[in-house]
Amino acid sequence: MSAIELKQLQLTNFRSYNQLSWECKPGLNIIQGPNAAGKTNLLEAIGYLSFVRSIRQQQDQKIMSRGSSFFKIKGLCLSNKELMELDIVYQNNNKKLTINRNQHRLIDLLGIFPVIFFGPDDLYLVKGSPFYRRQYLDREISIRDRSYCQCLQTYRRILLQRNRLLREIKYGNCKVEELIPWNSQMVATGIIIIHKRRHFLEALAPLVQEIYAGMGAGEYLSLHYKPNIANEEDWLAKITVVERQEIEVGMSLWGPHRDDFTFLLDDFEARFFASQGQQRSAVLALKIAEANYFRQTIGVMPVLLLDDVFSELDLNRQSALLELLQGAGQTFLTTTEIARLPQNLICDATLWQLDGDNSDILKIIN
Amino acid sequence: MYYPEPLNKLIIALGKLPGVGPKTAQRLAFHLLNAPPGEARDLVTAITEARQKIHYCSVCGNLTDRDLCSICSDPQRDSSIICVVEEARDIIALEKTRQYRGLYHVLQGAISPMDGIGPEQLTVKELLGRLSEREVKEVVLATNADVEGEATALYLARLIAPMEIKVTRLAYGIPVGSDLEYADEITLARAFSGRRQIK
Ligand SMILES: [Zn+2]
Repeated sequence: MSAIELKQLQLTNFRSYNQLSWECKPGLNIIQGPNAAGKTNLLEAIGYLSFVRSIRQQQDQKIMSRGSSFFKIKGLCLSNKELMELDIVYQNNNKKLTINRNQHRLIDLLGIFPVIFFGPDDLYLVKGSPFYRRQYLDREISIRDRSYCQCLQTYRRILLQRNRLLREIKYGNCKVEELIPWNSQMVATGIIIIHKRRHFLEALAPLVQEIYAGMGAGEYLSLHYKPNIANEEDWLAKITVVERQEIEVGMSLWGPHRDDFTFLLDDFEARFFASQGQQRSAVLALKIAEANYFRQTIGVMPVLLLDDVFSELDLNRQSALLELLQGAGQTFLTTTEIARLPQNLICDATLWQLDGDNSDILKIIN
Repeated sequence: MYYPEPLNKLIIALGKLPGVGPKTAQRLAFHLLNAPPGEARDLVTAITEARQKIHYCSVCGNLTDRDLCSICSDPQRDSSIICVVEEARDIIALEKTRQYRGLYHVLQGAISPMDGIGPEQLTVKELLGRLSEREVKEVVLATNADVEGEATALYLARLIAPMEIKVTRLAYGIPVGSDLEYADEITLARAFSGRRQIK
């Protein structure tokens, strides 16, 4: 099993960090600090090296430290025993990526430094709107499959053009038959997206089910893809039926941009019928499944970023997470209080303290 | 800035050129001022002449200083095949491959609703005119591989379909989302030999 490891992280003007240089350790890094000391910001910076965007879905503009005009993230990673330098600079609404000092397109970063992030907001994956789940799918499939990311960008561009055309047709500036080349492109690209999403969720579903069962909750959890449109024939047929309605509203009404997937607990939708605790277990099962899936398919253990997750978990769920951590590669875990973590977790970990007043300083306390 | 007005004007004018920032504009302006007088005069003449003499070929839309461009007026070229491109500069990229001996047609853009460009803003009518007048056996659609280029190709293929002319699309090897202009010669040469028929 090859692992990926972050050796060093350097931040400039990234949120609360005006200047930070941090030599992190292999294995488990536990970061302790009071609320608002910048623990999550640290995980966000590491996640940025994976997705070239905020794992908390924040705009880049908001990530910059107050009063600065750019931010910079530099990571030194060890991958297959090779040292790799990743540099991301954001300035003037523009991101630049260099890998080993050579300039690259942003898409080139996908899959190079895989991470899995798990934080309190991930509960929205179960209880939130379909938007969160599509975002999750797009992010997670993209880092495994660059062609998926390209399809997605193409599909979004087609939608923009097609929606604009629908409005122009409504106002009589364009003819209905001008839709034809956009329809066929939308369907051709959209079908690939649907196919890849189905493939991903079908691979993940049995893992999620097994892990959830292992938490001893007694119920049965299953994961289901709910594509907005099932196949090419249905879609093409639908387009002719809804064309007039689409022109009326100026929007494309059918396609994977309206997809969803759902968690079923004993045949009931967890989004509406599960308790908070059950929802938390479902998300945890999803994240652990994903880490395992990554190991199985890519043969790489991703870096785990766990943002204050133990405090919310009961003992059964804690032990499920502990089991994952035993086989994990490098892990970054934040907490307000180390004493509240399971004892067997702490003994092999490197402990770091983050001061609330001066978040530039991290120090080892054991 | 604190430059004399004529110099200031020159810097501003140069700064409007694509890819030229304020610093480069300044450097170019000073270069022109310090260069031998002939150099600046030659540049002025070159710009004026190019603007006056270069226009679109009346048949294909390529750039030329005569009525017909050098390709349209070359009797050696195979007039039974027309390659459709978005911009005149795409012709240069394709000519470098030396793979293609037919004629061209420049659309002067691609379909893009967001930019207000539909079939009527392009030279589609002129293309259809050429196809109905002459003995054309094949049309090669060499619009860019991005969604606008693809939409344009699909639109044209549908229009030409009833005319019983073979329609092919350059596709092989061109990375998705990239402009023709940036594709290297080998890729383009391969794209030509691998062109596929579209309906
Ligand atoms: Zn010509």
